[in-house]
Amino acid sequence: MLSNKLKKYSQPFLCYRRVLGQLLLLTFLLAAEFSVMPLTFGPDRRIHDPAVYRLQDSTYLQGDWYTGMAVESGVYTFYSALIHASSFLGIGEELWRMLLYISCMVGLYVYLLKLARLFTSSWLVVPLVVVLHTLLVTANPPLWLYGYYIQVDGGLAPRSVAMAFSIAALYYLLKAPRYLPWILLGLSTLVHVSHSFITFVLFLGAWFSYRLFTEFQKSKSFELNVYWPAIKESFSASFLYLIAGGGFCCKYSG
Amino acid sequence: MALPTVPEGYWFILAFHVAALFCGGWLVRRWYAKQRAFVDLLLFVGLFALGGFGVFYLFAFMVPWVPGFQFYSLRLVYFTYLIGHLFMVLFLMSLAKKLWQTKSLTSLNISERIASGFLLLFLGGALWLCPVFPGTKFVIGAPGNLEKSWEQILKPGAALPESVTGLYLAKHPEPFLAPPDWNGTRTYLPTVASFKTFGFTPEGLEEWYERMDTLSRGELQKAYEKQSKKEKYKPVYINWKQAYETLTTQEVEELSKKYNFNLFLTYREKEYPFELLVEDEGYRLYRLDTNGALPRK
Repeated sequence: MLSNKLKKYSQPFLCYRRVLGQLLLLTFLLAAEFSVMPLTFGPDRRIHDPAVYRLQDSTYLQGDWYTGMAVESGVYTFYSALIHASSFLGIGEELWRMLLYISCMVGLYVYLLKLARLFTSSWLVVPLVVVLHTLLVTANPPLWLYGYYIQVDGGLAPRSVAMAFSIAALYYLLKAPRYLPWILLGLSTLVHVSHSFITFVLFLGAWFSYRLFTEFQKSKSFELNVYWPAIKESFSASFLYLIAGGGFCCKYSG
Repeated sequence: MALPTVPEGYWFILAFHVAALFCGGWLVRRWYAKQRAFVDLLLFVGLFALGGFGVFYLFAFMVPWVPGFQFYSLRLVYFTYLIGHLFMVLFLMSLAKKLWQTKSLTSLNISERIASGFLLLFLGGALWLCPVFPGTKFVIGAPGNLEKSWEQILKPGAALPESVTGLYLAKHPEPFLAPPDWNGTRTYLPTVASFKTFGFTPEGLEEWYERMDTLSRGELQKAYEKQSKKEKYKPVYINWKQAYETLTTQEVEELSKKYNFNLFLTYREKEYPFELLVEDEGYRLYRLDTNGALPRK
């Protein structure tokens, strides 16, 4: 009786402790990230900025071949709008870029922590994953620079957003695969077409195959009606992806 | 078959992740029985990522499908890496727990021992590849970087040191010719050709290549033809300084007409009979005659 009461009254405290622990862990992970790669102006601004600014101001560097070509590619429509949301919010563009970047890093780590918690309640998993990632990145820097899946960028780029969304989508693929992963990947396609589209194809293919595999294991049958729910869900996943923003990649490929 | 080549270290790192995916996945599947469904789905994602990487590695450079996607398709493998890392860490934690509890290997059957030994061997190999001191330094990071980050938080976008010529060009954003590897500003400036500003549409890439090849004085095309004959591709290293320094006054004027620029940035030690606008430790910025015909000093 007494222990039940104690449990009841200590619940909010335990919850508070858990949240505090998570916050401390996140702060530690961000500090570790910034000690490896400090916050800076941001990577690849020379690649992305021309289209970002031209889409908001048609007179920006008129006649410049690269700016014209970057706009023509059509991939910056939403990224440009995202950057220029700072003017609606009434805050400086650089501050907005930094806030977005830190939010993406926080999102990425939060979903890595959630992913790890599906297996164990130990808080050690993600820090160890981060250490392993960092050591291997040092040994063999990825061919195309930056981190493998943790983006050691120092500032906002389209892929900072796309990677955070991808990790969140992977978590929801395990936890609630019906809607969220496809909606998240659709939204991130608006910001980074190639990465998000490819991730969508990968997740859909893996998930569909997994469903077929588990259905087969259960029924040991090749009848279509056994697999029909998985097929239907894959169609609805594709539809969700397309309407959430994945349709943007059709424009790009066209 | 013409494939982009990478150093052996990359293949070992890839092999390490494949081992982590298969052996780690198998062990995690046994040791985390309640989460078997999650492990299975992660295994499928990891395998698909690996398969996708293989397919694109073999075919994407031969059969372009959607322009621009080849590049990112190779990054599919990073999902294999993520899942490999997760399995590796879960394996290490479980192994440590088992060994701590039993103080012996008796809790592992023979196949688990073999798989664990195999994984530890690969982990050792991958870590051995890390240069210990820089690796450790990289993981721990540098306190100076935290200070820099804090400064950035207090004053976002704070100006980083830029070259004198870069600052001049940033204040006067008009087309200019500069060495393709010039890195004097952090912002985009309308240069004729630069490594960073490659076009990512078919026409854009063609235009970019043509510009870069012109500034390399045809060296890029020569290297491409040479490698094409051997059907073995590797990164091309051009001595840009050497190529750029040999540009004659007449050639600069011809390029000015072709690419429509009046500002010309070159190495400090090179003198041209144009109007000198500004110079810094490494470079000089000249203005050509506005008609691009009669140079003046």
